[in-house]
Amino acid sequence: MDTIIKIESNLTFEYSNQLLFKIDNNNLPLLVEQGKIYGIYGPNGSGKSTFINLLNGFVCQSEGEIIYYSQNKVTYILNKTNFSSLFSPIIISNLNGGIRRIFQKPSIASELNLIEALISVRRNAKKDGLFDFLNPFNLIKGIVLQSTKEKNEINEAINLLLEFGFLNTNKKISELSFGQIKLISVLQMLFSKASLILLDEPFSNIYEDTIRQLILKLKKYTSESQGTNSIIIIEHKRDYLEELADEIWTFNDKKIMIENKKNGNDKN
Amino acid sequence: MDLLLSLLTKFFIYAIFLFSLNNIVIGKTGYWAIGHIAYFAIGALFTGVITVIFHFTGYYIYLALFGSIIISIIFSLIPALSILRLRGDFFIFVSITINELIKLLVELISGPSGFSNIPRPPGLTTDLSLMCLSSIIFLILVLYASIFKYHNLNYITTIVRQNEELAKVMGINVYYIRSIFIILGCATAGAAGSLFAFYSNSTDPQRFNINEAVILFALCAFGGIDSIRGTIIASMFYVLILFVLESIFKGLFQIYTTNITSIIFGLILIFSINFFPQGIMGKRGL
Amino acid sequence: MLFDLLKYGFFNGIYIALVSVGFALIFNILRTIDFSLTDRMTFSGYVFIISEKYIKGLISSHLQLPFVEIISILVGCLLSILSCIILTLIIEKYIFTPIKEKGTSILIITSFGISVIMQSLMSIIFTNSTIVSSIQEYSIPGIGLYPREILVLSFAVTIMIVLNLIIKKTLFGKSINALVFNYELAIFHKIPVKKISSLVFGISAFIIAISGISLSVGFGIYPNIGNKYMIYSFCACLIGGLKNLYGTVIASILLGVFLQFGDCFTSPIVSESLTLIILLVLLYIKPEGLFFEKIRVI
Repeated sequence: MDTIIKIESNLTFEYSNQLLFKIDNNNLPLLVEQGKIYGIYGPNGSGKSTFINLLNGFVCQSEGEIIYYSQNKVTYILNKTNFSSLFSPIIISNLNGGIRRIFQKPSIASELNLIEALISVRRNAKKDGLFDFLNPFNLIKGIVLQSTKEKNEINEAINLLLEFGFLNTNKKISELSFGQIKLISVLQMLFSKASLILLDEPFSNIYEDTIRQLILKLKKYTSESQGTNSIIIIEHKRDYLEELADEIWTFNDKKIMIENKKNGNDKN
Repeated sequence: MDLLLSLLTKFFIYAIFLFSLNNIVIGKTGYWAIGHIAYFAIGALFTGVITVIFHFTGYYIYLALFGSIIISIIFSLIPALSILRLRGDFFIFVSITINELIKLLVELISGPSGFSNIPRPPGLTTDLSLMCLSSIIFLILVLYASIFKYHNLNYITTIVRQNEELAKVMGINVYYIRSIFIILGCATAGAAGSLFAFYSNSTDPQRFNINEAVILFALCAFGGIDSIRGTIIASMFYVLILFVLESIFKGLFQIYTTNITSIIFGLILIFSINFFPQGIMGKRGL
Repeated sequence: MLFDLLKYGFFNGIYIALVSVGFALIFNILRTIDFSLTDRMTFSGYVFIISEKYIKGLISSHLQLPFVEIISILVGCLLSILSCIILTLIIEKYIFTPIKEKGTSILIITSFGISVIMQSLMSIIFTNSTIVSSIQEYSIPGIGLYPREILVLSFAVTIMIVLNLIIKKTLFGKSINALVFNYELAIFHKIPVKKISSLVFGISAFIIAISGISLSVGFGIYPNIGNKYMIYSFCACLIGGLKNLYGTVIASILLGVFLQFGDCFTSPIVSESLTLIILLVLLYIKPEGLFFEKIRVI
């Protein structure tokens, strides 16, 4: 299986000159491989969310490198020298098949309606420049074509929403409750078809039966599409992690350890 | 009839400018560019420089129209680049500073009373032709704006405006999207300024000071942010109020016109921003 | 010549510093800059000029009192300071307090609205021309300073020291800090938010009125003079940092000297533009200089 992200074994993260975590894996790098689900487990304040932010390019490690691959080719190396707090997140989220994440505190642009919120994650960066919009030829043609092209996507989005009990799909995000927004942000990830999704406590504030449904969906997400998509998930509830993850990384005592390694074929 | 024509021309020119402020810069980027009138001033100033100082004549005067767009784009790089480092309130500060700077530049180049007797290019010598040109420009802008909601940029700008971090996570180049809209808005404002210089034949620096900027911002808040109908109604309202006040305070008391307009719009601004944030036509709050 | 320039620049800087201190005080309450502050300065200057003139006429026509000038100046000062404080408190109570929770951007825009209204009202009432107070000033022989300048200087120094002591040492200063950091918590801890807010606005109005009076005697005022001082003090605040009073004051004085030299060797427009360019560059380089807020991620 191909590696998507390689986190060098000397990676450390310091927060105002205090060590937050480092990697403790017998001097081997941490690998994120295609088609696997990685669970992150650990006490509060052990740097789980920071780790996700690190993978996403929002913060920078103090030592070590994170290397991103696409089809066994290095596409981006995140280290201290080429980190920019402005552009690294943008570059990283556009790498290979796209890297998407949800925040612990759910945030979706509140003016969008549910369908737009879902469609907006699965986007093609090339097609939405201003010049594409201003081109008068594309203008007339674009409207007609786009509406037919996107019809499939819209249907897909509506089906997904219906599956999770959102009957009125034209609702604005601002009309939803906190838990519903959280659910929608998880659904966004499921809809995104990104090659890696980073979930920061996705199941908090969500009804238990829905969580079961989501777990099934998440498993399906990695097994579908020839197993190219992977998930990294932070969760406090051990049961869910055991059920979902192929590999659990434990954050404890300022160290990241690989706890158990299931064989990838076990799922089947 | 002449009066109506003149009012209509003024309306279209102000509508173009307000469109650039309300529907492009504030509406799409979410940044409150109070000092956007600076680009109006740049357009008018450049037109004055080309025609009065360099004595361009004939069809060369059209260069002023295109030149002012280009100069506006160059100056718009200042706020467009500033968003790399600043956000929120700081953009307001940068915008005000640019406005004051441009006002001083206008005074430095054109003197305290501004240029006068700016000639019009052939083909635009009558008010009717000027009105046609500005109405065509405005119609094109409105056409694009009404089609905007079908394009991907619609939800991209929404996400960028409402949650920058989220937009970054979705791989949207936030800075590119914002700066491109700022540049576009400034270019449109420059064109409106150039048209205004042709229309009024003069560039009065007092037209570009911070009071006028606040008035125009008040018009945006009054009409409703990012609403086309709001823009049209607000600019109509402004032109009418100016006309009424000007006809009341003719001659000696002409100084009162600008001051009373300032007071009216200052009150409208405070009122609408606090109690009426959606404006008369807008769907979105401030 | 050089000494004169330095002196004028220094006193110009003192005015800028007074306005900056006003900005800094209000910043503590509103958490943003109130741009209508300098228009209240203009207002107090106008009130002083008119009340002084009127009272002098009143006294000299009806009463036979010694020291007519001094009495009229004192009464004028008193009236001007009082009216400025009352106006400020009205604005604070009926405009700023109800919308404080709506965010700083709305406060900024509202303060601009107030500024525009005040400027237009003043230019309707007093016309656009510059008015100078009719008081005859005599410079103290030997030093070459006017008594007014010495008074303003000593006032500025006192207010700086007292304010710094208050904010650092007393309970009042601590509750101001509490307001800055967490408004809800301040209410929860039963800090009298409204009283403190009015008090701080009142002090700012007092400081501003002094500089307004001094300006009206020294240079003369016109309705739009506020914009100029607003930009200068804003620049000084940005260089010095709003939380650091001494830094702001030093920056203001340096700016005043710089402006004076600029006026002398080039032209007022050029020196003002240079200040604005400096301001713009500072906004780019040091955006956290104003609020001392680091831009955090997530």
